[in-house]
Amino acid sequence: MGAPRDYWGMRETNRDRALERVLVTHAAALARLAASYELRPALREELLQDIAFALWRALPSFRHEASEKIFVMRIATNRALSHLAARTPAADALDAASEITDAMPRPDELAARLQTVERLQRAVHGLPLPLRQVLVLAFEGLDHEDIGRVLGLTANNVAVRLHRGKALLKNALGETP
Amino acid sequence: MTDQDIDRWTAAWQSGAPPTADLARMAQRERRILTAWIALDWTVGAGLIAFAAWLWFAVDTPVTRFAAAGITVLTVAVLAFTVVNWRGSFAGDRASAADFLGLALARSHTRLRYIDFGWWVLAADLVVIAGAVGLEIRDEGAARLPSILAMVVLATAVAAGILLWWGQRERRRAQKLGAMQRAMQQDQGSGHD
Repeated sequence: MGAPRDYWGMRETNRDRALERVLVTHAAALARLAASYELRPALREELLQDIAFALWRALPSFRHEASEKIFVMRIATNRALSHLAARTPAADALDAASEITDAMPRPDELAARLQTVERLQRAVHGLPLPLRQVLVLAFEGLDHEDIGRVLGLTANNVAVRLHRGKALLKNALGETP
Repeated sequence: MTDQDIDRWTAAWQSGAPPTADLARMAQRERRILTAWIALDWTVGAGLIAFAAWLWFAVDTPVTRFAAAGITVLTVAVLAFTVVNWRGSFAGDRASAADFLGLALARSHTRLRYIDFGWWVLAADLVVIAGAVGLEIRDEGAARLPSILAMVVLATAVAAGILLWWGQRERRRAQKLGAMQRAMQQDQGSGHD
């Protein structure tokens, strides 16, 4: 994948194979990232479809300036932001309701009702977007520099947000800060 | 609070991948849907231009010629916008989230300007139609006036409905993108709490 003109010239079969490899490698991370932006399964599937298509479109222009993971996470994050912006008011209202529920201090009840992972996913989903983005990327194994590259933030700013996000997440999970 | 928290949460987070369908198949499905939409745009556009050509050559009055030219110009303008919009809809995907939000907001504002322009076109259309109806009454009498007015009202209501719906949707999107951009920019550059 050399010159920019390859974008339109890349053979469809090569492109499909490249996409398949990227999707197999990052499928779990993409599914988790989509779940952190969208709780409802049908809309999450829609978002994943959008991300997969955006990756197919963008793959021929991948120039290895950054790692493949950063490239994939950037596209997935941007598609997720686009998805949030396009959601209907009804979907937003449902989300707001779930965030209020998540913010309520009922850790015992939650612990009894939900598994640890689901509890973590719901608590992360209830965090403010700028903190959620940073935490999700950290959970996917990106360091401060790489998170900054995905989101367009300085490493210091990432550290500040990570610190705040951790405190809020502890609180939401009912853990002692 | 230590990074042990992050390690613990990371382990829990990564063990919880929600089940997903075949993503490659999903990408193919999205491609088919978008191809179908683009094909539909061009088919409708080609149909409108063919209709305008028929009006121009078959009916052949100054009013129908004017209408045919108007339909052709508007169809070409809409098709051009559609092409630009499709191309732009995935632009900036490889940029950072902060840059992407800037680009998405700019595109949203462009669409809002396009919608505003649509209202002006609709208003101009009504003026032209009023003139055409005046000519029709002068030359042919008022016999066909009710059916012409019914068609005009129906077409105007549909166009206005689309513009209203699209405008509301786009304004909502622009507001959300703006809010996300402000949230992203909050305490940007600060290296400490």
